[in-house]
This record gives sequence, structure tokens and C-alpha cells, in this order.
Amino acid sequence: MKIESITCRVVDLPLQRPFHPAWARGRNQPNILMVLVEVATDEGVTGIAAAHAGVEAAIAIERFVAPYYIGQDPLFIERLAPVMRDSEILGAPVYCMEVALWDIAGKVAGMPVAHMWGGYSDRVLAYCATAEVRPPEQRVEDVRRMLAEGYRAVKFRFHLDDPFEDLKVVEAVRAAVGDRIAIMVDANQAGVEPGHGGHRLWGLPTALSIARELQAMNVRWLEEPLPRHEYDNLRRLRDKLDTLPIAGGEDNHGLHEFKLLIEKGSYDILQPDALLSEGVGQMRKIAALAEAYGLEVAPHTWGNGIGLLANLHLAAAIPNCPYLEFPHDPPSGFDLAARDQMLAEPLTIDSEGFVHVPDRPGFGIVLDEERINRHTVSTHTSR
Amino acid sequence: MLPTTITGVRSRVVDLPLPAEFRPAWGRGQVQTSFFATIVEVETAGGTVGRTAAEAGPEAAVSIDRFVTPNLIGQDAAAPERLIGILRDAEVLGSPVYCVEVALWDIVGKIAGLPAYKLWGAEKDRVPAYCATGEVRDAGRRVEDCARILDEGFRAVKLRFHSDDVREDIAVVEAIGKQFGKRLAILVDANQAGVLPGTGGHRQWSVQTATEVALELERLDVTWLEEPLPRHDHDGLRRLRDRLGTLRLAGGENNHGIHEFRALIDDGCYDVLQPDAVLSEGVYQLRKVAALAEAAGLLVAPHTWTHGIGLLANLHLVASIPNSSWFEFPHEPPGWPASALSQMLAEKPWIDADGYLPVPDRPGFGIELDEELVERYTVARFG
Repeated sequence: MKIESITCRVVDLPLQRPFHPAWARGRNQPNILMVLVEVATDEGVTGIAAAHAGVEAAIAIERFVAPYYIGQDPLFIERLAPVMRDSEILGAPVYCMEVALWDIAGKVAGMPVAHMWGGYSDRVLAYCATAEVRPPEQRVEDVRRMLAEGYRAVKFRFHLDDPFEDLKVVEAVRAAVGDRIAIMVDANQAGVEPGHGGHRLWGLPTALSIARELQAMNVRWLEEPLPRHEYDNLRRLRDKLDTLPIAGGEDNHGLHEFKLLIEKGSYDILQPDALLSEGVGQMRKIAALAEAYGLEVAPHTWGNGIGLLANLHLAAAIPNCPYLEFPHDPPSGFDLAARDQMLAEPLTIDSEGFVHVPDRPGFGIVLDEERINRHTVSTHTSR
Repeated sequence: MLPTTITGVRSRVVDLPLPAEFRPAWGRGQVQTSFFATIVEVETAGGTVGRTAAEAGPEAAVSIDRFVTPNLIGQDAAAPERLIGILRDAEVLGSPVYCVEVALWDIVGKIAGLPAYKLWGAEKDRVPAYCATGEVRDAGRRVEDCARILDEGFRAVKLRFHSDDVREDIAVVEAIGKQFGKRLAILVDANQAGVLPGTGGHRQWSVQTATEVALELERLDVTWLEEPLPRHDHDGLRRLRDRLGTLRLAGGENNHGIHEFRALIDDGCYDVLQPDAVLSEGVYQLRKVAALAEAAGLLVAPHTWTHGIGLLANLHLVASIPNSSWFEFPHEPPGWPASALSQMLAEKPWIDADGYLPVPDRPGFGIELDEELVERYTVARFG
């Protein structure tokens, strides 16, 4: 079996309603930009992946990956993984390529990838990941709806100039529904243009004060309270807490960085993303390291439905994944239908709040070809 | 609006011809006849233009357009320390664009009417250059090359180790040492830090192979051994370094971010750090890396094999620090002579009679373009 061609399509998918993610303070995000990657083989099997990116990923794949992948056997994934890592020396991160290779492997095996990897479970508990900053009353209403829909966990964003004001959302939700829902908090302090049109940088003392308040309200975790490379300050923060886990890692790249985060004791919960942080199979190594250190892995999935599927298989195959991020923030333009609009059918939760691994070979990615074609803005093919 | 307020960022991707076929040791089998650079100009309200260039094709221009320019417009170019977070964050999703900091400091230097190295507290106005070769050639030809290199005025040469059998590479060092003795210092680069190990790349060394080679090079009085192991194998590098006495270990061109250099220093990986001001971090951020290195008693010898603009940026950097060493001067006729590397510059940098490279005494980095040539080889424009 040989890789014959790699096609990257930059797809610009519109959102139907305004969407103001907390991390882009004030700005409306009108679309989901992604690069759909198709790796075609001489045996007719095609592996699918998608980058949470624009044309920069297509160029990086064309320039730094395709010349080394074309003609290779796509099942020799461990041998091809270093090419993705090296492409980041000069180009955009293209870790999503490993998703396409495992998709081929799963299709050849006739098995869902999660089963190929040992199948720890068939479903993973979802948390409803919100993105917008909304007033406490509105979030209480949102949470009542989520509970009715079956969600058992929700994540809020802390992005106000005064983070103690953000605490009021958690207070109001606890007062309204008690412990019926698990609450996570994301501060998005790991990256995203700190200080520039972004948000206020907290620093360790503010992070600790907020963390102590959240701990008192039985919050499930605090995500990204500090910049992504402040390994030592993260450890110091973590050392001062009792029951509040610290989570992060979506903006860290490469097995070596996760090794550092683990060895330095920076996080309780690691959050790599199969499209952003490392190859999806390489993330299994991160999960193994985490397991040996008694840590959890809860993949970041905010991006598109294909990434959600890839992370879902990973999450279902490991014993130390407590929750899967399930991006969904109606009535804004970013809900599960918008998120998964490139798929024939959106992923949903069952009545107990779990997402099921689709019982299809590979990652079970079934595309809405018609919609993708309609919104394709450029195509880059390597042979 | 200040005179230094940024009003635009424009990029030109140039595909620059080489005068003869070039067979880079690091791209085994590959024959190179041209190289890409992306020339970037940052425009300000007062008309001062800052210049830089990425060692890259369109991937860098796209990353600048998408992740940097929207956050730079309206900002004060003369406050680069406030803007570096934008460049670092670009790498979360895009290609590394650290080269942009060169353009900002170029503006500061022009406003001050001072060369960058004087702006930063000059330590020297010329640096001893080593002639960096790029191909694998047999001992006989290399001895001939080195006679020419000595004639040209160089006092040091860097050789590439890329043969399947390392004894062939060692034989080249032996022949040159025997012929020229102490008149020519010898540096060795194994390029094991990245570049597609195992996939169309070259044989990957184990710690044992690296140790065997290093001990032999130490016996042959070689100055340094560069990149003997993968760029994130901190433990392996430290173990190797601990075995050595007089042979220095060098590396770092493929590491990115001040946090990674801090880790390399803390972990005791290298004697000589080799970041590159257009690849690894912002040029001024590398002064911080140099400060960390100075405090740890280490040397800094930037990687410069990119293009003439990168060479100049790194030259100003080392002229401003006390702990510099030999300076990389890429020069491998007939395929890649120094004049090819610097073809986009109106004035091509060259060594003086003592083998030193003088720092141009022009404001900023003294980057004066051969506009006619740049326009002739421009293949794409952005911004």
C-alpha cells in the first residue's frame, strides 16, 4: 500500500448567527476555517483529517510533509510521525496528518480506531464547553437547558477585566442548580495575544486567589490560569491547592513539551488536541506518561467536528480521560450543528451526557461533500 | 498616531537562484538550484521602514498576514518588547515568524540613527568568521577546499558529517588536520537535531554513536561538535557532554522560544547555543538567551544559514554580547557561495584580512536591498 496523493482543501464554513468567543474579546467570529486533508492510496482507501487552520496549514503540508509521504506505506505511521514534528521547525503545525494515517489503518482493519487502540470504553462523558462571556442570569438559564438536554458538566470562560466578577457566574449557577452539574473554568491565559486585544494577564497571585474561590465552590478544574511555558509557576500554583485540579496544554506542542509539563508537575489534567498539539497516536504516548504519573488527559477539541471525532477515539481508548470537551454554545452561532456542519451528521450526547464512538471504520468521518464543495476556497494537491 | 505607529506589513516571497547545483548534506540526495526567502517590510506612519526576512516560502507570509499583521497595525513599532507576545503566539497555529522582531528593531535603530549592536551596548565591531560548508565531499577535495578557504582569510571551517559510515567523515577531519594543523580550526556539524530523521533523511545516531564520534573528534582537537542528537533529547545531550573534556557541544538552531533555550541551559545540554534571529526567537529575545548563557558560562554562536538579511541580524546580535564565539559564514562554492546567500543585499558581507566579519555601521541592521534583483525574483506578494 502506497500513498498516492494528498489533497488539502481550505474550507471557509459560515456561522449562521453572531459568535463572540471570549478569547477574541469583542470580535465576532463569522466562520469556521479548516483545512480538509485527504490522503489517497493506491488501494482506494482514503484517510481523512482536518487542520483547525487556514491556508498556512495547506502550504506547510504541501511543502514539508507531502514530499516525504507520497510513495510511502501509510501503515508505517510511527516512521512517518517525525516528519510532522520536523515540519514545525519551519512551517505551521500539521499534527492533524496522523489522523489521516490512522483513519486509513482503521479502514484497512475495518475497525473504529478506538477499538484498534484497545477500546477502554464506547462512550465518553461530555462537558458542554461554552465560549462566550455572558451575565450570570443568562448562564443560569443556559445551564437549566443543558441539564434538560442531559449534560452533566459545563465549562465557563473567565475573561472580564476583574476576574472576581467572573466568579459570579459560578456562584449563580451553584445557587440555582447546586451540585447537579460539574463546573469547569477556563481562563485562556496560556496564549492568545496576551496583552494585545486579548485579555488581562493574571499572574500567579491572582490565579491563586481565583483558584481558591473556585476550590471552595467545588469546581472540577481550572484551565490555563498562566502562560503556557510557565512550568514552575504552574507547579507552585498547583502545590498550593488541595482539591482543585489545574488543567492545560492545548497550546503546547510536541511529546517533549508534555513530558516537561508532566515532569515539572505543572498540571493535573493535560489537554492536548489531536489537531493542534501532537499526532493523535503520539498523544497516546502522552496519555501513557500521564497515566504513569497519576494524571488525567482531557483533550481540547475546540475547532471542528473532525477534530472532535479524532479526539473522541483517543479519549475512548485510554483509561485516564474523565471528560471530552463538547463545544456547543447556543444561541450563539457556534453550536453543535455549526461545529459539525462538515459532517453528514453532528455528534450528539445520549440521555446520560455521553458521546458515543461511532461504530464505523477509522474515525468514522462521513463528510457532507456537497456543503464542503460549496465552501471550498482553495485546493492544494500533491502527487 | 506616532511617527513609529505601524501602518502596514508587506511580504515578498523570492525564489533566488544558486549559481550552480548544490547538494546539501542535510537533504541527502536532494539537488538544490534555488532557495526561498520571504522579505518583510514593516511600514510606519513617519515613513521609516523596518526590514527583515524569513527563511521560508509563502507559509511565513501567510502566517504574518493571518496572525501578526492584524495585531501589529496601530501599535508602536519602537516598543518591540511589548509586541513579542504576538510573534510567540503566532507559532501556536502558524509558522514561526520570529524574524519580524528584526524589522521592529530595524525601525528603532533607524529612529536612533544607530546600528542595532550599538543601540544594545556594543561589545565588538567585528567577529571571527568560520567558513561553513554545506556538502559532503571526500578528503582529497576538502583538503583542496581548505587551502582556498585559508587563502580567502578564514581561520576556521565547519564540515558536515553525513556519511552512513562515520569513519569516512572522520577521515576528512584527519586529512585536513594533517595538512594544515593549527592554522585552521575545525568544527563539525552532524545535523541530527531534526531534518526528517529516518525518512529520506540520514542515519540517526544513538547516544553511543555520538559518543564514539565525539571522543574521536576530541582526540583530533576539533573545536565543537554540532547537533549530535535530536533537538529535544536533553538527557542524551547532557550525558554525552558529561563524557567530554575539550570538545564543545553546540546546537539549538531548531529549538524555538526562550523557554526552550532556558531548558537547554538548565539541563546542561550544550556548551555553545546556536539560536538564529530569523528562526528561533526574536533577535532581542536572543539577547536574553545570551544573558542566560553568560550567567551559565556558555557561548552563543548563532546559526546563520538562511539568507544575507538573517546573517546581518545575527551579526549585530553577537557584536552586542560578550560571550560570542566563531560566527557562521555560509560559503560553499560553487553551489552556495557567500555571494548567493547575500544576493538580495546591495553590499555583500565579506571577511577582512584577519578573517573577521565587520558589522556594517549603518542605522538599524544596515539592510540595503538590491531592489532590482528582489523584484526580478519575486514570486508572490502578501499584505
